[in-house]
Amino acid sequence: MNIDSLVVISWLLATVLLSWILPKKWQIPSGIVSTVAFLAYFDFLSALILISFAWLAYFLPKTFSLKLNILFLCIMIIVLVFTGFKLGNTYDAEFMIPLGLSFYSFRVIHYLIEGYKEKLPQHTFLDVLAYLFFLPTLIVGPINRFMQFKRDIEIRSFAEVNLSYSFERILYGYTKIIVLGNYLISHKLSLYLLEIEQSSPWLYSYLHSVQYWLNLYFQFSGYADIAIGFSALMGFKIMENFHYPFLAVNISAFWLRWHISLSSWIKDYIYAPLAASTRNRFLSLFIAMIAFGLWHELSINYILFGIYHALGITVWHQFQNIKRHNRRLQILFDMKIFVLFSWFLTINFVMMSFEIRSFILHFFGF
Amino acid sequence: MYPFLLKFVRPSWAKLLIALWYAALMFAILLTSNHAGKGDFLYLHL
Repeated sequence: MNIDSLVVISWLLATVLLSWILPKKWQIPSGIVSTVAFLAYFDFLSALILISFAWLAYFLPKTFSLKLNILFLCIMIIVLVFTGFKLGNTYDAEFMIPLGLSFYSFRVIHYLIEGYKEKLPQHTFLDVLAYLFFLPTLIVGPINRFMQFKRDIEIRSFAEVNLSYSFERILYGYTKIIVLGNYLISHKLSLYLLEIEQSSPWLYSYLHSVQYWLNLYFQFSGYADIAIGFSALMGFKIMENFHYPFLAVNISAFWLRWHISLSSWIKDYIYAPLAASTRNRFLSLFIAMIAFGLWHELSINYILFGIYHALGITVWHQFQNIKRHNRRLQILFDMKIFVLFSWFLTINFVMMSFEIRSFILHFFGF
Repeated sequence: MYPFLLKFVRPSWAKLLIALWYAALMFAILLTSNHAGKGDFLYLHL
């Protein structure tokens, strides 16, 4: 399965088409059926898990009324399933995660917590199914929120102006994945790297990190563009996932621009409750960033990734505190040359975070 | 993109430029689509 395969593109287009041409009462159910069929075709296990999660999220709290212990039980079941598959993937590279698990697990937890807080609008099981079985965002996010989705179900209407915007986003998405990510970064840059591997090992290592990060950005933001484009074609407004992260001039700003749907999820459901209960924002930040790392993979590598970024953000915040009380530092660091230096430092700090494991292996031997 | 181009050229030229830009992107996609990428991890491991 690949996002640029003809089958996937046709499936997405057929889902869009059905969501408009069918009678109104069948438009939303058609999207659910199409997504279930898609999952059943590509990853039957994932279809079963998602159906179970949907049932768990909607009916279990309704049956027992959503008290804190029921909420905790539901979240624990989801986290255990999520952790089990992630561990399987960590220890066996051949072991595949059920399609889209990392994204829909977090959507279900969001739905449960907001339900517990009584912040969800009136809705039916069909709305929950439509939210969880929404094909454009199912595979690689963004982790959109239920409230906006429910609003869009009610107000969606076909508008010609959406067509050009949607197709443009989809076109940009495919350009990022195929032309920039696959061809230029993965293929062409790899050829150049092979040439310089022997002659300039340091430049090779540095460019290898640049290549990894750029490829990750183009692939991931390309997927987000395609998801947002197809969602807009179906009349749904989905939150942005990337906002020019390579323009960030500090590490804190970077995390407001990179994988926004996940970082805002972590902020709302891990960082904020922890900070409120412990009154210790640095501890909360470290736990939140480690959780962020572990979302990618349950491994030492990504725990270190989380700690590394938490340290970066902490240092930056401490520096801001010092700067706030020092007028000379403020003038100095507001100069354009320092902004440029700050940008360079941020980008390199981020790129190096993906190499943290090999760095530790190389220098400390563990 | 259209409102941005309208600052510099007439509407008809803006439409033509956009059409050419989209055609160039689609041509680039078709030309390079046989190169497998390294994006598989996004849906195999997430």
